[in-house]
Amino acid sequence: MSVLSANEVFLRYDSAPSMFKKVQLDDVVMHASLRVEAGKTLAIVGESGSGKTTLARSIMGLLKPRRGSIFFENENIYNVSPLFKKYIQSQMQMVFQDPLASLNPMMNVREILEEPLLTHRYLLKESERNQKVSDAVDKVGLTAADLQRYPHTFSGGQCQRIAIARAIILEPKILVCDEPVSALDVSVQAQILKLLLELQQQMGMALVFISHNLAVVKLMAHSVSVMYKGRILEQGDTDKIFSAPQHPYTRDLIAAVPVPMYPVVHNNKGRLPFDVGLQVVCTNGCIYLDRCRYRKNVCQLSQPPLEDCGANHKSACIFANKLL
Amino acid sequence: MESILNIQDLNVHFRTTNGQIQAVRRLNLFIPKNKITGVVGESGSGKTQTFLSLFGLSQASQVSGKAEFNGVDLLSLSKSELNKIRGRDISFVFQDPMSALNPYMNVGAQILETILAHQSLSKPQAVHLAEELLLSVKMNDPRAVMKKYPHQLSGGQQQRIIVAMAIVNEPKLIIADEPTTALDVSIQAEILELIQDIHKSHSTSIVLITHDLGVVAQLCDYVTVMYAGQIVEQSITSQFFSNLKHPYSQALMASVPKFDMNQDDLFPIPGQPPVLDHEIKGCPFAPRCPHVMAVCTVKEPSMISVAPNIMAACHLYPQGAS
Repeated sequence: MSVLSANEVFLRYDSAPSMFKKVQLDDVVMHASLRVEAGKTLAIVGESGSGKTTLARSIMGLLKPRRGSIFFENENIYNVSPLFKKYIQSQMQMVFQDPLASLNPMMNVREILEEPLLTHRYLLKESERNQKVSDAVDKVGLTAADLQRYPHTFSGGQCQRIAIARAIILEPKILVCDEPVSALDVSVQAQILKLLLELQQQMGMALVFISHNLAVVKLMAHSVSVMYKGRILEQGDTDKIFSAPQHPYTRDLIAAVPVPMYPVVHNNKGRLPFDVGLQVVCTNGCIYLDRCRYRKNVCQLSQPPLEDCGANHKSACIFANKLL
Repeated sequence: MESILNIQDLNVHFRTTNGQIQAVRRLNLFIPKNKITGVVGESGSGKTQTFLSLFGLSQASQVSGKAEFNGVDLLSLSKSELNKIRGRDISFVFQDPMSALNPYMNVGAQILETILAHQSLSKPQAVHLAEELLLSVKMNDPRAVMKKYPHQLSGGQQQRIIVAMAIVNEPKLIIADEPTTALDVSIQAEILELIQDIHKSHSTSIVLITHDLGVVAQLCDYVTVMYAGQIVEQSITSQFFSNLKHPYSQALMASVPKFDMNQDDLFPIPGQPPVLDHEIKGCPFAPRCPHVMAVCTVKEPSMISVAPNIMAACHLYPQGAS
């Protein structure tokens, strides 16, 4: 069963309001469709600027789609009563990239963890609230003594634990993690990944896991959506995406990850150089055209839609299943 | 083997409001000539400070030791003597290309500045050299690129400019400090390729500071692993990944997500790296080490040869056998 689905979502940011004109910018996310299954992990991968965070903001109810709709348990989250919207918000929580910046420096850990309860569970008695706070602290591996401390006295990994405790204290159905480990030290990253896996097992929540690190995604996710320049180019079960990718971009992305192994297996032969010189913007045709090593003339005609290329597997390439 | 840089007993201390931080402690390091040496460690392990302090670029309150580069001790040089070496014999590539470039100057002016500071060329000659250089780092249309300001270029293009500026005076040694950490993975692959090409064509010695073991595997001939301001393992890349000797290197490898592992194969390192505001007794990794013994908390292990081409500082290997 899916707890959340996005259907053909288009997103754009308007520029700052000006007295004379309203400048409209282009869509930063186009034709995005996702399904988050209960208790499972959906990963969104892509490079910076691919629109993965924008899509996550929209899922969280923070950015209204220009077109398309987002459903939380059969309710369109941008078309519900304020009271119901508040309920939805309590069921979807977020963990951000920079743990220290996402915690209020003026609040100690107890205040940080109490805040969601005071907003969404205001009928709780103080004793019940304290119980929930100490449970949450326990779950993320901090101690009761840490409750009186302020964020700046913790290391990055511990701050991320506090941010996770704050996110799970309302027992949400969905936890959106936006690059939760990329700001952390290598040896601490694995601690946080393990913690997220344990919490998911205990609490049965769905994870939306945004990352640019493909090795992390492979480890964490049940299904993967690969984004590039605002479009989802490939989508499917994690096994399929990694064992038989059906979009050239996914292949290039996987091949570009440096593998800690010697001798190095170079599987990126034939990759076209990109980011070289000044970029030529291709107006129509496939958005991956200028980098694609499989390109043919037909690719210049139009952007292929995301279409089935196998069970639970979609690709936006006209040569899907025919790539060598 | 000939060395390009030989560091002996380097100490780097910082004075902070919380007392003295010993960022680098009694470090000995040998950087071989014409090779790429990877220096791996987490943030705070001292990998960046080791190199910044040698070239007078660190804010440290105290730097002591010896560092022989090209027959001179870098730490005994005056500011003006260092200025002659920096940018000419030694150049740097930093992590964040946007903040390494001057936002008020166009790219061409910045490259020319580097050339004219160290070479006696006329301006047209320097411009010609700069254009050739941009082509060699695979920037097409160098004339147009030189008129651009840094913010008009992408992160990967900015880093290419930085690399171009680093090689313009044909240095003997390039220090690349996390050159690809701020870049996307596909751009990272390109910059790594570029660094490798430069190494091959100029046979420059390169120190590559990184936290990514994958980058080390791709590029480096030698690996040095740092932890808590000290070197814990030194190895040759061809053996490093199959024969990890120090428990920290082993734990680090097991904690990095890899394509061929599942969730049960991921082993986080428990705890945190130590805070270096006091003298550490014994081995700094002891509190997190799965093989910790009584001796580890008492006596500091010294670097010894544990296998051909591999040195490690760990009590698991009989000390004094070297």
